[in-house]
Amino acid sequence: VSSRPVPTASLPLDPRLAVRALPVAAAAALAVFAVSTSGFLTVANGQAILLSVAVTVLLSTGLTFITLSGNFVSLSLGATVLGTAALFLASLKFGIVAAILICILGGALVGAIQGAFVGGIGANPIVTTLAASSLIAGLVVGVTHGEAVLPPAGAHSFHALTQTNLIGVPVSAWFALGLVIVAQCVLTWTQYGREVLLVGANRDAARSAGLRTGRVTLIAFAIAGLCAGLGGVLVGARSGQATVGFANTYDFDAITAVVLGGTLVTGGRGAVWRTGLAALALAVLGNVLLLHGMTIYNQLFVKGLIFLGAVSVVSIVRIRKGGRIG
Amino acid sequence: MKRRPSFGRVLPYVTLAIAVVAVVIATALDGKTITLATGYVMLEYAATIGPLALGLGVALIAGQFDTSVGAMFGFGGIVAVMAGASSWELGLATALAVGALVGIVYGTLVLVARLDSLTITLGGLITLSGLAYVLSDSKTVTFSDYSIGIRLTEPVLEVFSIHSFVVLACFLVVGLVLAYTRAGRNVYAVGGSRAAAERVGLPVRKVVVGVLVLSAVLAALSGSLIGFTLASASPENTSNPLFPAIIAALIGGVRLTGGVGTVLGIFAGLLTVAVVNTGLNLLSAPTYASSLAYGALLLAAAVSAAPDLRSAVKTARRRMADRLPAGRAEAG
Repeated sequence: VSSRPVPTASLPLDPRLAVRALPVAAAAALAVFAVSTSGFLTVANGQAILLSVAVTVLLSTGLTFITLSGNFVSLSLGATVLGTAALFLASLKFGIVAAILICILGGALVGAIQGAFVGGIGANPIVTTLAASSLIAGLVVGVTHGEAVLPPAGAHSFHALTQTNLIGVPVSAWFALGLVIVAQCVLTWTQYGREVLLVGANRDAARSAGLRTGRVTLIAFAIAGLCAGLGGVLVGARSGQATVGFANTYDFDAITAVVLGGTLVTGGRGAVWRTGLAALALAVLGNVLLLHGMTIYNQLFVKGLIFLGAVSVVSIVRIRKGGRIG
Repeated sequence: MKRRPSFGRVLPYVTLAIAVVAVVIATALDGKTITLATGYVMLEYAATIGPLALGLGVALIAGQFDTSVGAMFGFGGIVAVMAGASSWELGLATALAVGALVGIVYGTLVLVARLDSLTITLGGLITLSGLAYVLSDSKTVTFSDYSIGIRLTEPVLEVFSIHSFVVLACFLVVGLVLAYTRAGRNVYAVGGSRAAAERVGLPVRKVVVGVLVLSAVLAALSGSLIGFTLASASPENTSNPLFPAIIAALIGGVRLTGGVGTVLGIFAGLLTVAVVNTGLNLLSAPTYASSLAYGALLLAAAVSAAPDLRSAVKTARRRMADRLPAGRAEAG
């Protein structure tokens, strides 16, 4: 909260209106840009977008809980995705349902361990998750000897996860939509959802009110890990093999989606459905830029600027409103 | 009750000594010998990571977390190699200027949007990683003048080189400024409590922008020198120097909460990381071993820096004592 008086008259628009109008204007601009790009308006391209958006939606949905709980972001979700993708393919020999369950539990466990450090003793989330990403990558490369993990011979059923369409939409996209709805319901209607928002808005007040802030943080990280495990299932199923490299853009994509969705980086305010829409918008933008010949690595430049623009706008609008939430 | 600040102050040097002893014993058991050439290789690694650790560390002392030093290192190298095609001086100057510009943009965004530098530099990390691919057209860019790289890394006094002397000079200058000048005292004051520093009229804005410029410029410097040495630069960060740089600063006694740490401590942390890295290389450990080692060191640093560690340990001890009534009775 600022002690400096901020002249509200200098802002031509009602900040509340600006906040509502900006995303609509951005979406409209993106739509015009997309439709005017040749090769965009085809069924195959639409399905390609939905297929690629599923992983980002899963990751950013989970990440939203970490950000909302006041723990900024995780930088280990990409490593978790690659690790669970290898785990998925390796555990297909127990059957596809068991493989999915193993990945969900594995991801949740890895997330919960990080959450225990962050929530239990107040370890810095960035340093802790960076450490975790290094440990996960090292562990997976150590176990697999750096070789690609392949599914057991004769296992084909997993292709259904990414190659089947339901009403013209890939199953994995329905998957992601379902997760967003469930996560939003958890946030809006459960006691845990209200606790996350309270802890993120004011940790000390939440602690004084008797909330177990460490446990809330731990569960937020476990949710993010669980979602990353699901993401790993989709990545493993889609590529049919898994190699753990160093360069991946999953973390950055998820972080940009959360911030673009208007979630306050300091926590306490935001919504999963907005993160989902932002992830969709970013996927459309990425697709259009790809059609214009821009690789996913080149696109990081654009995404970084979007990140900086989004956090700055959200923060400045908040300052103009006098630092009040509402 | 006796306070124990002295333990925290000597911890970086104790850690360094332990690392040296451990590596010497491990290599001796493995039948490998440590020569002056080993020292040279170690110092060259330290000279690569050093500027990043120094910039990151000083920014952290001022309460600013620059997560983009690794990306700036890679981007700076590409800028230096591409802009230095006709003369290396021009390339170096361009890279340093770009670094300064990045720092100024960070500082402005931190002040205007009133955001955490961690948030802004994370955005910078994403942007700079992408910009490195855009500028280099996703290719490895090469540098035709090999002589400058050879001159930079030619051994001086067996273990040193111009490269490592430049980095040592950076540590010396920044260390003296931080310890003995008003600007240095302001860095500690702003890091200790930004609100208090603002109230007593210290130039908080200058300090915030200054340390962010310093860390970006130092990262660009290191990237440029490595670009000249390898006579090439690539947008692919195969081994992210952010990891060893953070570890060096944190082992060096810098706190994530700001206001605490010394340049000498960061230097000790840097040598610790370099010793561990050299040890792993001497033992011909596989690459994933260094991922595991860096991850474990980083986690240890995060745990030891955690603000609630002591109260959590106390609570755990109390619970243990409650569960073991016999032990408590004995103690009583």
